[in-house]
Formats: sequence, C-alpha cells, structure tokens
Amino acid sequence: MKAERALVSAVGIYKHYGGIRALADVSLEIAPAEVHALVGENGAGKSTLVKIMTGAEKQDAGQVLIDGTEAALNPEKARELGIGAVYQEPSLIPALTVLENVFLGSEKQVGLRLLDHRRMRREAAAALDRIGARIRLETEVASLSVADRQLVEIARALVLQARVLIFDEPSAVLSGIELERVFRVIKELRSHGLGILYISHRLAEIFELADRATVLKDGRVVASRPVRELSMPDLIRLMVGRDIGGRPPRPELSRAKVVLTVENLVLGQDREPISFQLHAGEVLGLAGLVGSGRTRLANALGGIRAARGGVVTRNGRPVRLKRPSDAMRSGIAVIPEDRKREGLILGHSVRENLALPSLRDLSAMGMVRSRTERRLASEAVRAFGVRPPLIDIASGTLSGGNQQKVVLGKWLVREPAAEVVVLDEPTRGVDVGAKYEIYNLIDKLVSRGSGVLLISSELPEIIAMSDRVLVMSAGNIVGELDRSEFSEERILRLAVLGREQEVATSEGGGHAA
Amino acid sequence: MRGYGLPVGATAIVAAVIAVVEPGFYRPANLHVVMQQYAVLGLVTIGQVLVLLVSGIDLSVGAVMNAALIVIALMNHYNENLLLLSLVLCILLGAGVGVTNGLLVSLRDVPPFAATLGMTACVQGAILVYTLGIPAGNIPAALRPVALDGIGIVPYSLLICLAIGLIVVAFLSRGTYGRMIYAVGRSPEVARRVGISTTTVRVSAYTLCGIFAALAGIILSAYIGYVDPAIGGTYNLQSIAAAVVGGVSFVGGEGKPAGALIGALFLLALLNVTTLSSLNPFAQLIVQGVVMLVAVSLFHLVKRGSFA
Repeated sequence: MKAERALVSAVGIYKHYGGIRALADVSLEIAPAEVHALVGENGAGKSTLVKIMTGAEKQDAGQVLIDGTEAALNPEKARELGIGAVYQEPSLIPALTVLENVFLGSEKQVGLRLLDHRRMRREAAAALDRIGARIRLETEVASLSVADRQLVEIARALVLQARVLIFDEPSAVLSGIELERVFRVIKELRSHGLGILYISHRLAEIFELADRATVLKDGRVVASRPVRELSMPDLIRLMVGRDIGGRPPRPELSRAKVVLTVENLVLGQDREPISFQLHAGEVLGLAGLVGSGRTRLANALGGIRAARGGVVTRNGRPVRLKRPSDAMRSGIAVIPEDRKREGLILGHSVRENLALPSLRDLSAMGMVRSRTERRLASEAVRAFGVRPPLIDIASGTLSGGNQQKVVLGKWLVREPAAEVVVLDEPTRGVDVGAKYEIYNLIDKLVSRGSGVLLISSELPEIIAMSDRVLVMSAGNIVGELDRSEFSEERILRLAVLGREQEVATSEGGGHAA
Repeated sequence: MRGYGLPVGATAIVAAVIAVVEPGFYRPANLHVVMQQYAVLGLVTIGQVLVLLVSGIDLSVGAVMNAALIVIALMNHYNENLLLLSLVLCILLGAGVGVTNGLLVSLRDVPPFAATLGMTACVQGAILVYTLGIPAGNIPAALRPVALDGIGIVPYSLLICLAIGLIVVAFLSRGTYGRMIYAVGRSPEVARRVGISTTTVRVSAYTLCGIFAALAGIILSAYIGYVDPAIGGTYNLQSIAAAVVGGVSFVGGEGKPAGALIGALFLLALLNVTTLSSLNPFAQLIVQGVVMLVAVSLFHLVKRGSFA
C-alpha cells in the first residue's frame, strides 16, 4: 500500500464470460487527488473492470476495497459509497430537465411527498458551478450537446458526494473545445482531492491528463507506472506487445493495369464531374474534410446511392451501378463507415454476418449449405484475426475492432475476390492493435492485385498507406498528390481551401520564403 | 430447443391443467374439433409470423378469410362445377391483397397497421357491396371432405397446415429465404447493402401471408360449411397472439415460426377449454386479449432478464 490510502482498489480480480477470460488477477488503485489512466486495446478488459468497480457486474474472484474495507457492490451501493461513473453516452433521460436529471433517483423530499425544490436547485447549481458549467437547470437534456450532458452527469455524481469518478472513454464522442472543457473539469476535481479513473484510446490525452497509467492486455495488467516514466512508444508497445512505429515503405508501383476508371461522375447538383483511375495493386487515398463528398463517392461506386451521371468502367467495360448487387457483380466491394448501422447485424451471429454477401454462392436449392457456410466463416475468422475466434456468438458482443474485422471479412471472403475495394474510414473507433492488422490486410489486398480506395480522416494513415492521394472538397476533387508530394500540411490546405486558393497560397508562401 | 421455453412450458402447463379440470378435452370428438381449428389458426399464424419478422403486422388476414368464404359460396351459387376455379380465385385474391399491403408498406412507407387496416376496410366493404350484407350461396359439398375426412382422427386440413408449416420452418431456419427475411427484419440497411432487395422480401412476406390466409379461409369454409361474412375477424388478434406467445417479437427479425405454431396450440387449448367449461362464449375474446397482453409483457420481461 502506498502512503496515501487508496479510495478504491481492485485486488486480484478474475472474471470469465462463458469460456472467455475477461480479467485475470487484475489489481488497480485509485488514490485521492490522482488521475489514473486505464488503457488497453478494445477487448483488453477495461469495460469489464469498470463494470465490476461500479457494481454492475460481479467478479468471479478477488475483491473491491473501498477505503480499505471490502465491499460487496451493486450499482446503488457503489453510488452510496461515492463511486460515480460518466459514460460515453451519458445515461440521462433526454425528456427531463437538467435539474430533474441531476437528482434522478435521489430526489430530496419535504414532508411525505413533496420534492424540496429549493434545496435541489441550490445543490444542483452548486455542483454545476463547481465544474464551471454554465447550464440552466430548466433546460431539457435533449437540447444539450454531448459534452454538456457529460457535465450534467458529473454534477449528478457530485451531488451524491462522489469521491471517485470513472470516465469511460469520454473523448470518443467529444471533439476539440468540448474535450478541453471536460479536461479542465477533471483537473479541477483532482485538485479537490477526488480520485479519477480515466479510460481512453487516445494516448495523447493520457500524457496531458494522467498521473498514473495502468495498461491492460488480454485481461491482465502488463504495467502500472507513473506517466512521467512513460513515453508514447512505450505505451503503444505495452498495449500491443509490439512496435508499430515504422511501416516499411510501400514498393514502387508499376501502374500497368487499370482496374477502375471513373469518368465525369456527377455526385449531386452543382457538383463538378469527378474523374480518376485506380490501378491494380494501388492504394489510392481519398482525403478531405467530413462532408466533402468522400462517402458520397463510395456510395456511388457501391451502387448504394447511384450517381447522377457519368461512366464507371471496369476492365474496359462500362458497368451499371444502380443498386448494390450491380457493384457486387462488377467486383466492387464497399466497406461502410458506420459498421453498427451499415456493416453488421449486431444480433446475428458472426457466421451469419460473414455469410450474408455470399448467400447465393452458399446456397443450393434455396437452402444454405451449412457445412460450406461454417467452413467459410471459420476461414474468415482465422484469416481476419477475429477474437475470440468463435463463429456462433452474436456479433454485438465483439469489441469494435473485431466487429470491423468481421465487416471486412464478410466482403473480402466473397469469391471471386473484389478487384476494387473501397474502405470508408476502416480504422475509426478501432484500437491500435486492430488498426495494425487492418493495415496488414490492406497490404495483402494490394499484393493480390486489388486496387484499394482508402477514405480516411487521419492524415498520417493516408500518408503511410497510400501510393497516391486524391483530395476532395465541397464534393469536388481539388487535387491529386503523388507520394513525393505528400505532406499533412499540403493535404489539409487543399481540403480546407480548395484548388485555386491552394495554388495562390503556395505561390504567396514562395514569395515570402 | 433453445428459445422455445416459454411456449412449450405454457402449453404443457395448460395441457396438464386441462387433464385435471376438463378431461372432456381429450375425448376424440373434441380433439377432432381442436385439430380442425388448429389447421385454420396454424395457417394464418405462419403467415402472420412472416410479416412480423419483417417488422410488419397484417391486420387484413381476417378480411381475406371472409372474402375467400364469399367467393367460394358465390361461385357455387352460379355454377356448381367451378369449385376448383373458385379456389384458385381465393388464392389469387389473398396474394393480391398481400402484394398491395407489401407495396404500400415498402414503397410508400405506409405504417403496416394502417396499410393492412385500410385493406381490411376495402375488402370488407367490397364484400358488403357485392352481397348487400346477405351472403348468397352455400359452401359446395365437394369441398367439405378437406376438413371432415382424414387419416384416422387427423383431418386432411391439419395435414395441409402441418405440411406448409414444416416447409416454412425449414426455409426460415435453413433456407436462403429465411436469411433474407431475418436480415431485412433486423437491419434493412445492412440487407440492402449486400444486394438483398428489401422490397421484394417484404412484399413476398405479405404475399405469402395473404395466400396462407386465403387457404385458411378455404379450410374454414370446408369445416363450418356455411357462409359467415364476419367469421374471419377474430383471426387477426388470434394469429398475432399465437405468434407472440411463441416468442415472435414486434420489432422484427426476432422469433421462430415453430415457436408460433406451439403458441397457436396453446391459445386453442385455452379457448377450447373455455367452451367446454360452458363459459360465456363471449368470454373467449377476453381470454384472447389477456393471453396476448400477458405474453407480450412476459416476453419482454424474459428478454430483458437475459440481457441484464
């Protein structure tokens, strides 16, 4: 034990789900006035640990100590003992006001029935004040931003005299300024002596915020150290067990064979027609801001939302792309951005999801050949590294990265293999390890001769993976860059300003230099 | 047998209670009646399940059944040799109503209850216009053996129902069609993106439902042997209640036809006992209502429990 006694500590926690180990011998302490970061890949066991510490799940073995005393937790008990949690999607009731939400389940009463409104208002206002949130108590929660909702949830915990606050990946749904506000609040709370457990994917945040980091990998603690003793590469290595820093440069491309020609494709009213070519073995990056028309282009190529005009040619022949089946027949696979809504049926098993695009090939006389289907699913699960490698579990139980592998798998196990693969933000919301596996997969796709159109908002990813980059802005292609011209600054400038301005600024920059 | 706990358990309990309280249920004559009724309800329920699985609901099955009775009687009234043609017409009529329902729901985004309720009004209205409320004609005697004869105690009608039930169960659990139905029911967007035509799948479900309802109407007419232009009405609620007891949910893509077939058995046994125990026959409606409400609330309870 450390000098200052931990507010909450988990000691030797074990947890299994069915035959799958979620946590093994996990210990962790949250000390007063400390931000403790919990990091690890998706599926490493972070969420399970949080559930156990907030009483939502029961551990198989081990103890949760609060102020050094063992506590048998359930959610109410945990709240009573001062453990509050702020989730990614705050668990507030949108139709109620801020005030009503802050006191949900802990309403203050006067006499028998009446609510003590004056006291509730005073306490809620004090709590919001304490975290510097300027939110009116009468506002309906539905009209608040996600960041404000998280602040309301923090206020709710404070009203309950929470001494420990657990943040479950708040940054996944917040951006820029909003995130900074939450960070300020967290630092403020720390200075008042609260213990904070902060869970995140974004490693940069850990270095900005945390005093201590515990790394979980495959349900075990692999390290727990003060953050000042750690570097970013250290942390990544601990999380994935390997260094992903230097990817080998992509081999020089011959560009002999064109697999896709797009001519004068019109994506919408007042849009310039789009033209480009994709070669066998090429990764063509498609950069641009959100809303620049990249997904619209992907949907046009996939026959999901047909273009208004133009010609798409595959292997010298023009193809019709009016509906998804047209694209599938033409050897074009589009892996969507929103895997939960467009990629997977979460209630279906991994096997059924993998089989869905290949249904016709797996069927004979109207029946699905289950042996063939199981073989296909098992092969896909192995080839794409889905963990756990089980084909009969519901897809919704997999972590984000593994769900993404199933989505990739369902499109890429089809026979014959798609020659054109469009990946729309394939690594969004995916942990570092899965990201690395997806990059390897892209390498494999191009080495077998497919052309890959890679849509990504992460510029380092675009630059590392692509042979050539197209930049879109306001629905038009505003620039094409070769590998020698790649730079984050250049791509961003094109994406933000569009073509003419880019020329103008670079000339202006030249004069100034 | 996973997922069948509720319907199998409930049916077993009812069967056991009946054996004690109302042993008359198990007399062959009564069992024969139950089998007749089951053939009708079973068919309608199978169709209803298909529609429920694609996130729909069909409140026009009763009207289709009524229309089938009227068509058979009317054609028999004018020419007694047109029985086969009249049956074909019934099926086409059921299919037509189903196609219309399906197109309204999938192309025009009409809420399923509104589309099928509207169709009910149209079909019932057409019956009234044509018959002026007094149905003419009789059910041809040649049709009656479908229900009255059989193998041993088992009527042909039940065999027809079970054969169709078996085929649907097989195609839904192992067939390509089943995969499409469940995919469209659970996530139309994902289904569309893998090249499944959600319109075709939805329309096919409503069409099959209409056809099965027409078949049920034919079998019902063979069984009762007279024309009652309102007899089908109770089957809207009954088929939905049977499906829900059997574990089929209103949200689409959840539940199995085999469960619904057991649910239909449960419901019929319960209704039959209310008849035997000389309860007020109108009380049957209350029984149906209670069964449905209890089943829906219980089912949601069970589901929530399994996810907690």
